[in-house]
Amino acid sequence: MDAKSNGSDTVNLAGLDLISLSKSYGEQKVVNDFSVSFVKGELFCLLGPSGCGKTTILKIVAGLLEHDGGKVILEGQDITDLPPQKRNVSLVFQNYALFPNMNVFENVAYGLQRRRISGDELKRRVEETLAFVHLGDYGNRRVHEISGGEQQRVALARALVVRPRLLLLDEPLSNLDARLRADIRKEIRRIQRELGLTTVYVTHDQEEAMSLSDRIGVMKDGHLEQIGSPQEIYENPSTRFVADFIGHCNFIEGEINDGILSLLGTKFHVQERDLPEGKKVICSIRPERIRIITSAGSDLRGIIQEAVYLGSAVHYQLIVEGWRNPVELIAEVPVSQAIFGIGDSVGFEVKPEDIRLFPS
Amino acid sequence: MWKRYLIPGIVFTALTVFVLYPILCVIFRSFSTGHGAGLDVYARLFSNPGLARTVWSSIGVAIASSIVATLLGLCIAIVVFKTDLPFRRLFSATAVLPLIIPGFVATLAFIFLFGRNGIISYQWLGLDLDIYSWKSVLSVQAVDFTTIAFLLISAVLTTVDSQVEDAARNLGASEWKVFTTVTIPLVRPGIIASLILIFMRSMADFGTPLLIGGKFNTLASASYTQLIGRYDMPMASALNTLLLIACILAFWLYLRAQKSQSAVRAHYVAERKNLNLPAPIRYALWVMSLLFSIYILMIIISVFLAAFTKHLGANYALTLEYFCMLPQRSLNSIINTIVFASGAAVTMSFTGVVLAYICTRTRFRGRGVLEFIATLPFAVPGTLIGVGYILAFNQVPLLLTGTWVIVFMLVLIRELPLGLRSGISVLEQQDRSIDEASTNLGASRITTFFQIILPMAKSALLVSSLYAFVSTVQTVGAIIFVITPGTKLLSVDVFEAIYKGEIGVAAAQSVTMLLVSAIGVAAIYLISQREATARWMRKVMAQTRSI
Repeated sequence: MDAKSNGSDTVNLAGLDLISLSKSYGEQKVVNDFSVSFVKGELFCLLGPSGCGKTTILKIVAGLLEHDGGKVILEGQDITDLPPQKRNVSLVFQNYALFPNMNVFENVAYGLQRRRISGDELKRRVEETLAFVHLGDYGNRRVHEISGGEQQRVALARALVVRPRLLLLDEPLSNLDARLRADIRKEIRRIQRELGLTTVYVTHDQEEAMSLSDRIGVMKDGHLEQIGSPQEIYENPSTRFVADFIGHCNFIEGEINDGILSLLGTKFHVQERDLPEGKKVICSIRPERIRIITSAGSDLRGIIQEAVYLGSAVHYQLIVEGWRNPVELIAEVPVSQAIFGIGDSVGFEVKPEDIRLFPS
Repeated sequence: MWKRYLIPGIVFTALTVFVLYPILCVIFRSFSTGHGAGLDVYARLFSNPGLARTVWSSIGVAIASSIVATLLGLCIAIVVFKTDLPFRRLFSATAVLPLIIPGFVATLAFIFLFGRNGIISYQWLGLDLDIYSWKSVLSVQAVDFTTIAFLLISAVLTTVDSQVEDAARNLGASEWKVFTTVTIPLVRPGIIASLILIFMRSMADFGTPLLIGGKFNTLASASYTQLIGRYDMPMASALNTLLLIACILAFWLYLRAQKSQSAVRAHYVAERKNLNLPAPIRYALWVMSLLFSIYILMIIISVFLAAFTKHLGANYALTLEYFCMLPQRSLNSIINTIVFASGAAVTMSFTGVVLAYICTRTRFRGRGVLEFIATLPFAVPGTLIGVGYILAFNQVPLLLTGTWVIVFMLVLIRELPLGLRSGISVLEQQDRSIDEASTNLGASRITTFFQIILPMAKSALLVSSLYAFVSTVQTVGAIIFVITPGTKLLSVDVFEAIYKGEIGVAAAQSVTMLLVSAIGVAAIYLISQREATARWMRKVMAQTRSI
């Protein structure tokens, strides 16, 4: 995918490149030296807490927001200074932003009219696209007469009908209820795959990002913390923030001496060697990687404080005794093995390879 | 690149010429003497006890009428929106009725009711009152301005979330305590706005003191008599400049108050629930509202009676003689009024949205200044603008005196703040992302404006232009200075007829004027059946009725 062009700059000829974008509002830097390459045809999620600059990046790509520095390169073409009308980059807004003075058909036709397409071709393309999002009969409806999920699909159709070079989605599911969200999520994925459309999807919902993306970029304070496939992000978080933001995590203080980790009074031979020795570290362990055992021989022991039933699993809250301050841990156990009661003293196991280390 | 500045540039130039320049003319004129600049005129003003007294007369009456009107408005708003007592619809209808009754018609009715031969004072009570005093000015103004108070306060009152009141009840507050510690503090922004805006309106009102004040004069009425009676342009300018200072100060206070209060308002439709106030208080408020309603109805009835009877108070024989005089006396004025008012209304609402768009959606550097100049006619008294137009457009290259252009521009400028305000409030309600969606789909700014923004604002704009129509039909303040026999308006005819004491003709003309206004109001009513439009209207109208 990547190709060399004019000197040392690596330019992704097929997809979208953002090169050190920055944007501040007064003193506050919303986007800070932000660079990333999107591969053609992939669905890339920008995931991060609200206020981390995700939407700002979408608006910069669409040209709706002036930025302070950096470049936007689409399919090898520098579109940084191109006016928003000329970019052919479709944005689906969080609240859909449908034109209330027009019906469904007119909404979808709007972008085509701006491209001077009229008559039969306009009609055919609008109807095709409406059928594509399963809204074939909805052309004459007013936009406030249809449900939230249908509005969402009109917004999607309006964005797709112009055959954009890039599809941008700004938290498209946040105004829908949980059940509808799953349906539309599948729908978006289907459409995106069928059209092979490069798509940037902004969300703060990690579950949504995990289930939808080819790749995820986790954002914090206007920069990327980590890029990777959902699995990479979950299993090998590169920073403590990522570990904390994606799924549940236990964070425990530990110490490294001569490559050996002391954690909760027990020694572990950990694989990671990139951390300096003799220093305090923060260890993260996923709840499902803590195995509770009944046998008395375990070094690690705790008392069950609380049990939270989650349907498929039970979360046990343990207080681990014996090493300086008591430490709280969450362990996830499948329901079939959840045989413990509050107040039980239990042993537990953690494999060294399930421990991630971060600087303290 | 130059295209970006073309439209803002034109608007900017027009506003400077037709708003800023006339105001500056008046100020300069008041400081110019035969030989350069100086305070000669002001020295002359303050050495004349009659004129010097007008400063305090104006302020005194303005403060008094703003307090009385605000209390009345508050009382009616509470009865209408916070109780389930009978006649609430009647109360709210009569509370807004003065919108179509100009101050001078209310004055006319006041004379019918309480004058020497008045229906109430003489016919019923047998009193022989001399009504020409400041007390009558205060009474007429207070009733007239209660509408503003009612609109402003109910705009806030209807957004007070009843859950907050319920929370107070839940914590053990009595209904009276809920009212005084929760409801009233939440309504305070409306009360403050009402006090200040009514103060400004009262300061600028020259008609009421002129018609019914007798020897009592205010800055505004004195400026009229100095100019029209004595042709003393420098003195009229000086009086108006003093008036301007007071109004601008009040307006500055108003803006400051608005700014600090914007955070308090709820941005959603709040659930409304009645207050179960102690019975004596509830009924006292109700009786006040009832008296107010009756009085408003009596105003209208008496004007109609006077128009259709030979001589109100003496000879009740029905007659159409006053209406028969209309075609000959006022036909031109009626046509002018309808043409000017519709023209101004349409132009105003379009210009208003364009202005609002420039001020809120573009990065045109002078947009703050633009908004300020366009808002000025709201804060600047009508008499001053009238005098300013005489001064400004009396010489080449801007020789407009005596033409219809000057009258039209004046009418338009007076309604511009309403246009701008309603434009801004419409654009505020429009989701910015809809604008962006249009851009994202390839539309230029102009296309977006005409295809998306304007159609979305349609019904709100229709309402605001109808409102401008109604308000133009009744306006007298600034117009009276620039009117010529060829460009007469109905409102000025009425005013002059009252001034000359031709009561029957004035009443017949008033009835015609009320009917023209009523057409506009009926249209507004039909359009604003929807609650959202109604709420929007209440807010915008209350804030922007020009003074």
